[in-house]
Amino acid sequence: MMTRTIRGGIALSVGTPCDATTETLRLPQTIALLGEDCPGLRPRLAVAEGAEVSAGTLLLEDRHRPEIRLVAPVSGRVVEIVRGPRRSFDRLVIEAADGEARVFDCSAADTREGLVALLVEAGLWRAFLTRPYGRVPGPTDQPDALFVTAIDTRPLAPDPFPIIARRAGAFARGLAALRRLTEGPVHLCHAPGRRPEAPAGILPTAFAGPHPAGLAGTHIHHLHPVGARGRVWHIGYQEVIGIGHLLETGRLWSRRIVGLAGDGLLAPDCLETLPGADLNALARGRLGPDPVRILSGSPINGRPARWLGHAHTQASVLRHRVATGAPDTRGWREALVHWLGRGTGALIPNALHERAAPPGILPIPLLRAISVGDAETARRLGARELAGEDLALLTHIDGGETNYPDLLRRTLELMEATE
Amino acid sequence: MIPLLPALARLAPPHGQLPALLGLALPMAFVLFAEGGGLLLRVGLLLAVIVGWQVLFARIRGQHFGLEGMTAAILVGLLVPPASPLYQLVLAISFGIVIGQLVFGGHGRNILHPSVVTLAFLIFSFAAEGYGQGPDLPLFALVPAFVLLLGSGQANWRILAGALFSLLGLSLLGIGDLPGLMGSGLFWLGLLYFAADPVASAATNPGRLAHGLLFGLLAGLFATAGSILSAIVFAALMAGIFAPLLDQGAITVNILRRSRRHG
Repeated sequence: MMTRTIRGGIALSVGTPCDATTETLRLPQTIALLGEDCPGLRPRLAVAEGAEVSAGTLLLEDRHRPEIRLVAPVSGRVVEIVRGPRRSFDRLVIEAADGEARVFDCSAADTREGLVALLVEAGLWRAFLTRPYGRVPGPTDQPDALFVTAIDTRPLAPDPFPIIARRAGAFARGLAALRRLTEGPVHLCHAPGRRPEAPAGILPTAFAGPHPAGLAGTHIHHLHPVGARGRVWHIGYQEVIGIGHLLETGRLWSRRIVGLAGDGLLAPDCLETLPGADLNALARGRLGPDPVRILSGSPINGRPARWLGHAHTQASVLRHRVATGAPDTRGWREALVHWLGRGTGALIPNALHERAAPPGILPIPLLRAISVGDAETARRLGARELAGEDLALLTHIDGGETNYPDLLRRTLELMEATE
Repeated sequence: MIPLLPALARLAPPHGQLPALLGLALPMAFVLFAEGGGLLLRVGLLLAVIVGWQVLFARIRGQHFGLEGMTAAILVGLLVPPASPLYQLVLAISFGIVIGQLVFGGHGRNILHPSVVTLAFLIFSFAAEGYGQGPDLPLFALVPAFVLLLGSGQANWRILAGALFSLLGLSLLGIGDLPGLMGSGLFWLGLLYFAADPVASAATNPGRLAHGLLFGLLAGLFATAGSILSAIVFAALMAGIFAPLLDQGAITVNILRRSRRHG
């Protein structure tokens, strides 16, 4: 077994993560599918408000890319469809109810074409993300390599190992199916000493060290860097379990294991819940006395949200610290401190930036390039290897004021348009 | 290599001036004790001028500023002689803060440290006033600054290591007075605050090492011909001017390595 130790990295102490060796079943009444999780989606709705759906029913698909399909993860009734600006799709809320799940025909899944068609039909295709650019791949694309991320080093994240171990059969089955999608290697990236059981032909690699040791970008950099032409895919461990479950039973895996943690909670807990679960319902009865904010995702790159995001495996409940009140409620002392301490907003280099940077990247030149939208310099500095999550730690150490993941996304869009 | 102190790093975000200001407390106390309250008057005047310019620029540009002006005022106030004519200080700090920092867009976008620009202005323009002398600071007075700046990651150890390596090399060649420099608090003040200033120094790790080497080389050579303070100021000025070039070298190496690795 190979172990790669990440140099640098930052272990943030933001509280204790949940203990993933036990799971509490907690099923909320409503779930939602979110437009935020499908950047650039051109929606074509297949259901209307009030429609009864069963797990596996198509809800909407992309007008231009039919492989991007949002499928009901649970049975129930569509209670709300919300449009965003410019006719974009904001969210679709389902009230969960008992109902028979749709059964998919898995008989053709032994071939690559059959498997791809099944994954697209079941809405699982969008679990794959490409590097570069972090997009959903096309169904006929061939990746040079495929990465399964079975390690999570984000602060407060649940340990994937026991979660996978309880579903070892489905996980192994999913892994075996992934072998059919690429002629290149399938890498299974895990924490040292926490290797899930994997069928033959899967290449396990352990990654040791603090965050960002668990990010797909780090693994790709070490094992199969994407140069000027390279293209790899990566997928999370719960999505692999979902694929395995689909192949085993013909039904969608209508579950999501979510680590709920943070200093706003009475105690962290590992929850077995629904995809897109209502986070307010998950946190109900578990909150301390202070005001909190609930993030879908980790404290460093989660987003304040009512519902759990697609592919998110953790929700963070953080005590809401009002550092400085709103401008009109500040006393003169607070106002003075704020006025004196706010700085120019320019990037001030610090030794922490090199620690928090993705491997092989010069952080300050890259951040300066993406801050001014210089796509050419950013490309030469390795921006193609990166996705937003790789820069989340840098935003965090800079006090969260500049959203580097967002700046990178914009730069990548520029690069993609000119490629 | 000094490890980063996570608690310190949490206390001070990269743009925070707390480590720098706390690190200056002991040198200030020492100079206050040696020469009396004139220091406070100088620092107060310098700070007033700096804040005036900062407010003006902030108004015109719609930008903000932080406490970096206070650090600059204390540094200049500490390093000029007690008998400096105040009009000269006002002129010099105006030049330093405006040309050295504000015209570039404020702290974080400047290429030279405003205190270095101010001191260089004074040493050049008013050669008869003895601005190149500087106070006698004991080594121990810089220990807090050393711990705070390195621990918070604001001063990079590579710059310090590079400078010390250069000075060691020079002394092996028989040039310069290594024990004299190393034993002087003034030299360490310059090294920590001027050479290793996070903004004015190189911004890549290889660049930082090269920056330190260059600063040490220049400071060692300049010190053979003049006072320690003027050697530090002009070495920091020259090294700061070359810092973007050193960074560009590091960037080129990074790009070449990436293209070789990825084909």
